[in-house]
Amino acid sequence: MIKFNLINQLRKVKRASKRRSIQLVISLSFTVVAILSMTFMAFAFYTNYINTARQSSIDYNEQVIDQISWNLNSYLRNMMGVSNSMYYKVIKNMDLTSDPIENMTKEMDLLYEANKDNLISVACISQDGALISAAPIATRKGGVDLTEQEWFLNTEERIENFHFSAPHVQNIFESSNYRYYWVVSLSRSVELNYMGHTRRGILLVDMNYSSIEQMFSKVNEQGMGYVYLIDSNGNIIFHPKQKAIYNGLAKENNIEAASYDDGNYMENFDGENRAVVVKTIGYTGWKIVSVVPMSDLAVEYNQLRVFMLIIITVTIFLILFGNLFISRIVTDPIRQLERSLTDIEGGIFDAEKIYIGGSHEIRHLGRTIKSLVVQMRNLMDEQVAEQKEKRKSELNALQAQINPHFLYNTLDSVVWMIEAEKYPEAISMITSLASLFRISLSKGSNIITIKDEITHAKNYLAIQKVRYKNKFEANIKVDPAIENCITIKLIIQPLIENAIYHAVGDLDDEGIIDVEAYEKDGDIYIEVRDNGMGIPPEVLENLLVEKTTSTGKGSGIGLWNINQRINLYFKEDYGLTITSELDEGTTATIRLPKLTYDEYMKGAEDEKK
Amino acid sequence: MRKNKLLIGFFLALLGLIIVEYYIYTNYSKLTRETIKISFVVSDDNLDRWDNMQYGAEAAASDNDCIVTFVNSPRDAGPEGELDVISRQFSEGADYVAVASGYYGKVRELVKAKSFASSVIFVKTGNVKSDYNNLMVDEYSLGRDLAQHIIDAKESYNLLLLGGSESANANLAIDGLKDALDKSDIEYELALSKDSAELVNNVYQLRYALRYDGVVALDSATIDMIASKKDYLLDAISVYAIDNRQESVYYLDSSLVDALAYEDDYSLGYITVEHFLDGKSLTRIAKGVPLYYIVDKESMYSEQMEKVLFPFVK
Repeated sequence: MIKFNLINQLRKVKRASKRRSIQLVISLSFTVVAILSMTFMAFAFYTNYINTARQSSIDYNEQVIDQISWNLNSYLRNMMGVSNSMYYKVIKNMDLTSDPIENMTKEMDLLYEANKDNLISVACISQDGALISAAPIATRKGGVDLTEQEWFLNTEERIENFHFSAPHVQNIFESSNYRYYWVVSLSRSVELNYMGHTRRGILLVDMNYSSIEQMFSKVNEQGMGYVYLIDSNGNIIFHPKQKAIYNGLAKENNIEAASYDDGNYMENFDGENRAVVVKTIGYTGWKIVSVVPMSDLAVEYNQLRVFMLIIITVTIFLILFGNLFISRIVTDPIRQLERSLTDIEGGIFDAEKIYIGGSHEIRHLGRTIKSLVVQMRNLMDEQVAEQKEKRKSELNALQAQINPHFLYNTLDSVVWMIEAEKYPEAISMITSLASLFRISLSKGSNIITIKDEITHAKNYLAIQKVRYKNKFEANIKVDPAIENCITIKLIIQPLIENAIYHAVGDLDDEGIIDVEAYEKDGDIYIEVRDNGMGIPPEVLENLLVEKTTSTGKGSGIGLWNINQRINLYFKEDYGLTITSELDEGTTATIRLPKLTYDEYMKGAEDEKK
Repeated sequence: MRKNKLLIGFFLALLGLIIVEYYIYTNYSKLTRETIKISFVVSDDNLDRWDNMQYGAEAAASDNDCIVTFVNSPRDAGPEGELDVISRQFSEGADYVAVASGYYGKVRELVKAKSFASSVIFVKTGNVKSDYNNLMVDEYSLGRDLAQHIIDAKESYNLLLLGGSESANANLAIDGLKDALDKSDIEYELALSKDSAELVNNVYQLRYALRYDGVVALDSATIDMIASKKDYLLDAISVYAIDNRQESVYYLDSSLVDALAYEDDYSLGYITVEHFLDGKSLTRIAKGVPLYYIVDKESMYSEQMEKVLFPFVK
């Protein structure tokens, strides 16, 4: 059932698409426009949202980097402060020849105690690599040549600067508990005073790498992506996967990142798009690099994507249905009006059936069409009436023609009677002929009473009987109750004429013509029966068929004429029927409405109105 | 009537659409990716020894919505105890379990019979030629490379290969050592002690037998024993060790040990987690990554060895 309906619906859609109905055009165009607008808006909104979210993420990372940069700066400044304090307040004021070294060590211990969370050790080393003093007090490892340490070489190379080393394991002092510390060495060249003689030495502050690591780890535990620290050459100082990178298990774009200026970038590394923010730390040239893989950002957009997809599909559904519904409301009156026009096209000019509804414009259109239909119908009615009248006139004129032979023969008979001095017969015949003409004229009216029509028939029979020397017998029987009812004139006489000419006129035996008028079922029946030879069926069936020309005797134009006239004056239900049996005779039956003259006239006037 | 049907149909369709989309929304719009839980079960009484592996595992897990947990199964608990710990990890929500088993063969058979067998791999212990899921250092190559280092150093010509216990892994390393030493002019003897008294006796033999100028400590207990008796040992005896504890690094730094064969647990942990997260085969990830190093005093503070030998700051 569903399948059937679906197929039907599809067929409807197919038909509609072929016809390009107004509903289809409206709903389709509205839907397309709405969907396009919505898709555009959704795309714009989504793109804007993504860009904003991406920018927010970058902004957040910049804030994070600023914060970590501030912390790192603060930490490094603090360590440089330690170095400065040690140098300017202690070392520079000491004469290493006279002042006890313990004083320096004591000061170092104080500084160490004050900063021991961030410090691993402080040491002062002579230019030849001898350890002058250190804190906390520890044993120097045997076999370690300080002059070969990277921080020592860097400081010797450029004596004017602070030097920050790469993270390394401190291996100057013995560890008693198997404990090794990762440090970043802050070294500077210092002037050592030996009795007024200045010699260069190195002040080493080993910063606790753990402090830097904690700073970054804390940040990396939050938010998306990660942050790492590189020196100006791209060497990694801190990276959450530092060891994995050294082992070749992970990769980082640290070398290229070293070339970035401060700011944010989009980079593609190892097949992955990443948002990168770079910030350089003063003094050191170190760079903090924040990396957020775009795939991490994409996770956040999944919900938005699904949400937007849902909104779009539901909205499309609503738009689709709404458009169908609204277009239906708009086009329904048009469709109904179209149906009305189809009826008119089919010839049904019923003004009352014309749809008037819907919007103002459609109602106006409906009313206009209705008015046009009324006018058309009136025009057509007038034309039909005209045609009818014309037809009536033609048929009446045709019927009114008196056969010249009949007149000639009748007058010839009258002459013969006068010559034979049969004056009374001649007078009777001329009287009948005069009456015949009087009724034929009937003051121009085509409607006469049955009584007059019967009189006319009697006169005709009287004349013909003389002419045919009483070769046939005629009986006329009329119900007196219908004598004053109306009939069309000259419809019985042609039937009698046919009966005489084609039935009884040539009979060897005596012919009988019966004329009977009676009422039955509210209608009037006038029968003309003869006892002639009857009419063959093939002739009978064509007797009432229209013939354009007369084909001589028995052409049947008279019968068709009678039938047509009755049809024209009354309804199609009325008219002439002919039944015949061979060797038995023929009966012509006229059926007429039972109307008085006044009733007929009233009906005719009503019809005209 | 037709309009009503249309409206009812519309609302039913809308309801259906909303239900379907609600289902999609709740199932496919998660803000966070699903967290993967990986447990490492190590057969040891002390988890501190597994710090390096833990750092490696945690480094691989970071930024991957992955939680790594290390649990130990006491050695006394045996294979069944180890299996209980493994089973418990799964019942407590672990997606995968990596096992550094003290009873590899037995535990492996027990795990094979379990439904979670495909989610278990063996780390550090196992059979390097096994077709079963395991990731371990090529102990044979480690032994062979250590032997080559000894040969190249040319300081020892009479070696005692000293071990405290027998294990499949140690046997592989011994095979590697022996195969390499057999090709050199270095003489060696193998002494595997079954108890500590025998081990002490073997250490004293080094001192008093006067025929050894080098010893290879095959396990932690042996190197600890040698370190405790260092005062008795002659300076002329070179000490080599196979161990990856912090103590051995200290022995190396304090010149008690001349060379150390050091297994990189960090990489083992890292590779294991990456295997679980990416689904790549262990051997494919581990390809080209050194899982052990032969380190001496000179190289231990090099940029690379520093990161291998010293666990990152806590």
